[in-house]
Amino acid sequence: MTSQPAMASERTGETSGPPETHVRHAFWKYPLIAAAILVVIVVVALVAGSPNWPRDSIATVAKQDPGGSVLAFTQELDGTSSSWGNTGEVNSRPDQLFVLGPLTAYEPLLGAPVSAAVAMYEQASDAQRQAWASAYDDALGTITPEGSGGGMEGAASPDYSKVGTLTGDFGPVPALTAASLQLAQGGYLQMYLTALRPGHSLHLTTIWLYDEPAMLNTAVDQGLTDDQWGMMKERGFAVGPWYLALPAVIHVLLPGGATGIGFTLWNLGFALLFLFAVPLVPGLRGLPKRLRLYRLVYRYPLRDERVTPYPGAGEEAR
Amino acid sequence: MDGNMTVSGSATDQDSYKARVAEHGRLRSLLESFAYSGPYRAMFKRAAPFYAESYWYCMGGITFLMFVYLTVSGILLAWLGPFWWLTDPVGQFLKATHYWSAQAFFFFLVLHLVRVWATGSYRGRRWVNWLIGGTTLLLALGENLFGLLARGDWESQFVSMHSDNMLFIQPFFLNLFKPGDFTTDLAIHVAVIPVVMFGLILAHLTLVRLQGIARPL
Ligand code: HEM
Repeated sequence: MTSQPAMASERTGETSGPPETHVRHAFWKYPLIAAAILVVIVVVALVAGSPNWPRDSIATVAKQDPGGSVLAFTQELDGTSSSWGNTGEVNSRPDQLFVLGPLTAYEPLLGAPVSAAVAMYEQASDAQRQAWASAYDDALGTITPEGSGGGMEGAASPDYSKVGTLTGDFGPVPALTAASLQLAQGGYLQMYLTALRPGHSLHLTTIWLYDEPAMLNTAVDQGLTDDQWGMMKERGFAVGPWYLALPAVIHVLLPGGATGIGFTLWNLGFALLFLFAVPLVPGLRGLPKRLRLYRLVYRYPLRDERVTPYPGAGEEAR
Repeated sequence: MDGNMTVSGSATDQDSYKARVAEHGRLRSLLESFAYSGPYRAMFKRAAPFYAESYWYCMGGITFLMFVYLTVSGILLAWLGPFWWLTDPVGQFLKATHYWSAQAFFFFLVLHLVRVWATGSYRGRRWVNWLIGGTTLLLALGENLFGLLARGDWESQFVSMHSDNMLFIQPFFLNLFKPGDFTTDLAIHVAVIPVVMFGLILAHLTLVRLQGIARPL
């Protein structure tokens, strides 16, 4: 509720509001504030830098975590890898893309036994392939340490030293995953994937790295997963995106917020409240007036300060 | 209200450097001279209400300044490329200033939001500008996500797949986004969202000019 018109006159002192007289604006503060802020940014940038953790490559991850890599290839074959949940990005079948395609392409390098394994797998029925791969997946589970992941999403890697001891009806699957591991460790798999989509060369590599448990496990160690408030954190860096606090609260604390649909709907709801309810709904709209926080914002004249009106001002403001 | 209320003459004379030195002293007049020159003259107009002469009312302007710096440093970074910004010391420094000015952008944006809200400056037709500002804020959060994905380091790899698995496979996103694809992320961060934000900020500032500063609560 505004009462009187804006008069370019001396303050009357009868209201509690600040003078509405137009004065020359404090433009002179801007260059000073701007310079000060830029200096602070440069100093902080020099001292603290910014988050910059080197990318993973398929070769380094496959060498550090061969057991997890074998698991990733197996799950790409049996349809349970993370990439199978996201075929929209993969744009093809992960078993073809990450296992059978590269093995076929590098056949001359890998030798006859691997060619034979690929041929055997490709000639088998869908049900047979699924049975082999699932059996191997289950067997890998028996040599995987329990609970090493920590967070609710952590996945542990099988113990690679025991992979050779597994027995069961796996068909050619162990041969396929072993050869794939060889390609991965040698850098061939990443080279193959990079060449597959010119112009989007990092794409498939990243998708494969997420099939490997190592990436998620690293994230768990660094406290970056959702249940660890990872949305507001950066790896190896103290300051994260604090301004994502509200989405993070939604994600961690609100019912259904951890699911994609729930998260989106909650965010949409809060956005609509913020855009429409806060400034329009009667009870909410008037809140600032009742809270009187504006008294900390407006400039009021100092004791004995004279407010000199700006000539000609007033016609341009309401 | 008509002008010429004091004996000292027209508004233009009042704006002259000499007149300003007489009123506020040399240092302040020098510092503010940019506001009376070229493009700024029209942008700021000439006067502000007394109650708005507080630092709180500078927060929108500082946010804008941060946006300008983000744009300039961002164009340079995109120009010289990820290898440069991840490995070259100068590149890393520029990247760090980009990071910290983004932090500052959100910091001052929040202060601006607090001041607009606390003074109820969204009343009446100014609600439209609240809507424009608020939309800019939401877009800025999206810009932040795609900036993270376009950084090209480990965090980009992890967050791209992680956000993808949760968010972008949802049917209502129609597979429009492929966060695992660095090229797409970079294009969205550099060429799509900032352009829309720039248009919205321009509209925001134009409306502030047209509507003037809201009267006190
Ligand atoms: C990139 C983001 C933004 C920029 C650069 C920006 C810039 C500005 C500037 C320079 C002003 C002039 C007065 C002042 O600085 O206090 C202003 C006023 C205003 N802003 Fe923003 N703003 C942004 C975001 C927002 C947001 C998120 C909101 C609210 C949801 C908002 C709502 C308003 C309103 C309602 C006014 C008019 C205030 C009045 O008449 O007193 N702005 N903005």
